[in-house]
This record gives sequence, structure tokens and C-alpha cells, in this order.
Amino acid sequence: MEDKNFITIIDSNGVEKQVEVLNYFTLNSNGKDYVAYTENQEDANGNVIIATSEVVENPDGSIEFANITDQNVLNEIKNVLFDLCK
Amino acid sequence: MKSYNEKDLSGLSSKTKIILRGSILFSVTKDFVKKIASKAVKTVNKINDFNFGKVDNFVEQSTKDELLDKKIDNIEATQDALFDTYDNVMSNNINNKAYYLKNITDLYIKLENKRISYISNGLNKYSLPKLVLMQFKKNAIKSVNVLKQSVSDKKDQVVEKVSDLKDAVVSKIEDFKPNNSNVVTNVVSDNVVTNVVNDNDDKTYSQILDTLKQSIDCRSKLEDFRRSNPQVYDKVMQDLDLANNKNNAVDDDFIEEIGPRVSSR
Repeated sequence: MEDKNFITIIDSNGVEKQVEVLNYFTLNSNGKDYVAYTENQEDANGNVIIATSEVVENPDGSIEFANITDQNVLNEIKNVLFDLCK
Repeated sequence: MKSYNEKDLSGLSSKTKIILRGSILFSVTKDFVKKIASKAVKTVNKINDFNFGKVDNFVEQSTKDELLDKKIDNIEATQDALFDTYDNVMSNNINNKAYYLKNITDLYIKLENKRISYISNGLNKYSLPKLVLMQFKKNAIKSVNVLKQSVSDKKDQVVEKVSDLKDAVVSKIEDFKPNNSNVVTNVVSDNVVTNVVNDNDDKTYSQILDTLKQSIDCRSKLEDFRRSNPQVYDKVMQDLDLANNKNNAVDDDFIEEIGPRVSSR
């Protein structure tokens, strides 16, 4: 049986959705946590759309998936994803 | 060296509220997705690279979780890992063994207290935790005592070796001095070698070299011991207080003091 990891997230419209977590890791360069996940939606070419966010834990224990604005960090994450595929 | 560390997915899956503020999207092949997902860390950290910091975070995350059943499951899974880690530490020859055992025990107790507090809320069954805890603590204390005895024995061995070294050197020089008083002007003073030789006699020179050779050999063995047991060696050196009590140990500079003078002849 395929072992998938689904979590429920709440989007900006307050809508709950189930997403599959692909990987969860810490970048050594900044010590921050990041997640790669997907809703398993396909684009026009049949490829799968995946998303990556910074994982931020709030003082009340809730978690936020935050946007990544630093291009260098984004490049690092791409490299991590490529590395995970080796 | 990897530029990242993968994290256990249970840290996310145990959360009941995750808010999406933003993401960067990529389009990738299905095969790519499968490969990434297959590398996800889905279990509690492996035993061999157990990280105490991660356990602390795990505990903190657990305390914030609203689902007690899941929290208890997470704690018990971590406790199982701690048991395995304990066995792993005990069965391997590693430095700071006592330190790791203490950390493991402390973490286990911390988790157990937390688990009991959850269970006492009436949301799960109480399953002999105190008995398990007592046995765990008993084993830990016994192991630490064994380690202490081992360290003490090694310390005695070092003291004995240093003492033998001193006796051998002093004895050699004393044996040599009576028949060569015209050769050696001042070899031994208060058991400390301070000055050597002013003669070209081959026999005298050979005897001094023999003495030094034995001294250096002893010194080499001591150095080997220091490299393989640095903490024990340092502790013993401190106890012996070499700098202030010359009667109790060989002066650290002994070889350096003597060697150059003889070899330059």
C-alpha cells in the first residue's frame, strides 16, 4: 500500500484542504524549516504542481505556511528537491 | 555534506491547525513527486543519529497539541526510541557515555511525567508506567556506577605507570652515578634531573642514552595512553599536580630538558 502523508491546511479564504506533504526539512544556511507539498493537481502538460513554504510556528502552537521571498533561499530549496530525487 | 536536514513528518501531521499564508509553486513530473515523497522521514528519528534537541522540540510540540491520544502515541513512540538509544549507547564504546545515558534518562522521565499527566486526564488507560520507569532508572544508575568504577581503575593504572617511570629513571641514574662521579657532575638533585654530563667517554654516553631510551619508551607509552584516554589522562595529571609536587610524578618537561643536551654531543 502506498504510504502518503496528508495534512489539512486552511487557505487564505478560510477553506480547509487536504494536501500531501512531500518533504519537510531544515535549511542549514538559516536554520529555518521548509515544507514541500502538493494538492496533486496537474498543469496543462500533465505535470504535477507542487508548492513549497516556510514553516513558521506561532507562540500559540499553530503553524503557518509562509511565502518565500528570498530568491537565494528559493534556489537552495530547488537544490534540496533535486537532491532528494537522486 | 548536506545543506539540509530532513525532519520527521509527525511534527506536521500532529498539528490540527495549519494556516496557509503563501507558497511558491513548481510544476514537476509525477516521477519527481514520487521520488521526493519516498524520501520523507516518516518515523521517529533513527537510533544511530538520535538528536536530543529534536526530542525536546518534539516534546514541546506535543504539549501544544490538542489531541491527547495522538500526544500519548507520540510520546510512547519517542520512549521506544529512547529505550533503543539507551541500548545502543550501552553496547558501543563511545566517549561521554555517562553524559548520554543521563540525558536519555532525563528525557525519558520528562516524557513519562508528561504521559502520566495526559493519562490522568482520563483519556487513556494507565499501563504500569511507574514500574517501567523504576526499572529504567535502576538500570541507568547501575550503568553509571559501572562507568565510574571503570574510570577509577584507569586512573589507578596511569598513576602506577607514572610512578614506575619515575622509579626506573631515578634507579638507572643512581646505579650509574657511583662509578662515574667524575663524569656526571650533577645528575640527581631532590629526585629531579637538572643537569647532565661533561665527558666524552663512550661507555658513559652509551649508558645515558640507554637510560634516555627507556625513559622515552615509557613516555611514548604514556602518550599512547593519553591519546586513547584523554579525559582520564587529564584528570590524573590534575590530581598528580605535576607542577607543584615533583615527588609524586615525573616532570612534564623531563625529556625536553635532557634530550637536546645529550643528542648534541
